[in-house]
Amino acid sequence: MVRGLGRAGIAAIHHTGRGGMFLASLVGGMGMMVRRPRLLVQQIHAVGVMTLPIILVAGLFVGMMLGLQGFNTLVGFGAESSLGLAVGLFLTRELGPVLTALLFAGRAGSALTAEIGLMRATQQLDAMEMMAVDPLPRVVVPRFLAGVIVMPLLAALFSVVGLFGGYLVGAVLLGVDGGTFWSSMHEGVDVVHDVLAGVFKSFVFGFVVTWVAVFEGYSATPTTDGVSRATTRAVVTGSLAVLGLDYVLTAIMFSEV
Amino acid sequence: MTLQAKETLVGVFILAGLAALVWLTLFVGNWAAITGGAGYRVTAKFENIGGLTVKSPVTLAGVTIGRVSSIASDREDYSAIVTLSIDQDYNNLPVDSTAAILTAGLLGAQYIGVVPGAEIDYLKEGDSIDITQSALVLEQLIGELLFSRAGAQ
Amino acid sequence: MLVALNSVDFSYADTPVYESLDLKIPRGGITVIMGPSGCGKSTLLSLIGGRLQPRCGNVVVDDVEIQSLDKRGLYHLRRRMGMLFQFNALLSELSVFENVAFPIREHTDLSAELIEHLVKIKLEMVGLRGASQLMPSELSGGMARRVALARAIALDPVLVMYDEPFTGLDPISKGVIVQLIRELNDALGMSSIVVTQDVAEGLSIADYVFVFAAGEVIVEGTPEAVNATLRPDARQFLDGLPDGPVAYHYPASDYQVDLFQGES
Repeated sequence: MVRGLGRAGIAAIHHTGRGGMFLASLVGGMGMMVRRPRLLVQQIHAVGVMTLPIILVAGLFVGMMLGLQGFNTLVGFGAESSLGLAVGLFLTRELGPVLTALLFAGRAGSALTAEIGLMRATQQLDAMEMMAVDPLPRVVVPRFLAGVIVMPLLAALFSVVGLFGGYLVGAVLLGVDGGTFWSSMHEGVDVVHDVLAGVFKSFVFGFVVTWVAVFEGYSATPTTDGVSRATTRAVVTGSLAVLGLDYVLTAIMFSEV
Repeated sequence: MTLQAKETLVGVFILAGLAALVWLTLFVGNWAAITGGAGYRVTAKFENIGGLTVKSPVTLAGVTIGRVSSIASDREDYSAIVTLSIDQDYNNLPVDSTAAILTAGLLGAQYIGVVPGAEIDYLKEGDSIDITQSALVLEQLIGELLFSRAGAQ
Repeated sequence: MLVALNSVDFSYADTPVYESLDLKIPRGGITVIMGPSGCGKSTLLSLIGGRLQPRCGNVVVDDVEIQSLDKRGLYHLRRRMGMLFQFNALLSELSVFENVAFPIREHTDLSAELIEHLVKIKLEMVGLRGASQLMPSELSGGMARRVALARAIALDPVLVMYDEPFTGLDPISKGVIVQLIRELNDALGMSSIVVTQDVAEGLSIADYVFVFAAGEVIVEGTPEAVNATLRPDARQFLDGLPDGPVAYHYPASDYQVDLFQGES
């Protein structure tokens, strides 16, 4: 039992170490993106545009939920005029970056892992190596960069749609004054500490989730079973990393204010 | 889907994302933390600020006209120096205005209430408010009350 | 000699594959490597392609020692090698045309027009010029193999390696591939190494044959000479006999003891 735990621990450390080395070689392969921007554009399409619908729908629903819950809670204190502030803070600080990252891990991250893992299992990566093409800069780097670029944009769109969802429920359905909704938001939401902190968070999340996804795919056991396990692991690791990092980043960025 | 269609979609996506970011930074949030707001700063000395914190509101007749932008301690007389950042719209406060630390409700958050004076000159950047009233600290009040009753008996 | 392995030792973790293997593959012809599963045939191709490194000994390809090369040098050498993978390994996100164009695009700065000409020539050789806009998922097994073949010869390599080119194909497609390997080898003046377990196809195509068993060359020579061998282990493989030097039974304890050990 103890030995089993020890072995699992060593395996986990080994896996993490390989992930770190992998990240280093990814950064080393970034030069190619300057010469081949098309590869990046294609991946932004695959990773970003294809994830957009789920992000927009989820953002709208979450915003509407915030409007409803916020109103019901605040009206008890007679503070429903602060609804805009509450919705704005929740979305820009927390829910925008975190939920976008979780949805991204489930939709785009798993797809990335499965895609790269299948390329490994069907020897496509080996074939590239034999054609004297390094698969790291050709296949992995554009996907990784696309994830890092796309995540803050998706999170911003999530927040914007969410704000309108909150406005829709709070102001249109429940009768909070629309002007008050927007002005209380503008009054209380700070660009640096709320909006940009959220953007920074989603940037970190994009980095970690995509890194985990492409690494798990690249190092997957080259069998169908291996790929499906790698996909599961990528989503689980990515999601847990997002939630853990969210706490750490929140503690660092919002504590001294 | 052709490559060109994909590229167009990617372009639309990136522009929409950037537009969302710009909208969030320009219209949802405010830049007060960096610019200190479009306004002017005045200082006020208090013997005791109680639970006042940075970002506490500054009000005039109940209307928020600014925020506390920093709090420091005076090395010489051990009082608290509070910097108030007041919105440019309210640049007509007389120099002899007074500032008091008030409490929202009995136990609520503390804020600064400004009462305008009567001079013709207005407060401007870097001025100080000389007449101030410190925070009421509940424990002290209760202590004083008990003490005075004991003395009366 | 195009390829020479000099006293090569190789093992996967604790499983030894080769011990001081010597092998010389001549220029110009089709060399067929045959043997049962797990005898290290595909490993040989990985060693020649520089994807695996031997523990001792060296591998020389086209007068270059692979172990002495850094990554750049190795990639440079690989441009002169083509490889057909067992499961074709076509890039699933690219069309047939783009798959064949892939190595050309990656390694040359030719104009789009010239690339189109080159790709069409290669596709015509394998009879699939009309299928150039299909995606790999729309191809039958035999067609996919031919596309992979066209891609392997896209850069006019000196050496083409075929890993199990006949596996999983219907008899017609098998015949097509046999004919193509022969034609391409002779028409383009390449050398070919074919790794296979299909005895009939392997012997029919070969100029020279190596038969492997358990990491060793047990018979080599022309197809006729190999087919006439009397070695029992080689005969078992060539004739497809279920029992022989390679035992039918996985090693186990005594059958009767195993069955009746419960009652005593």
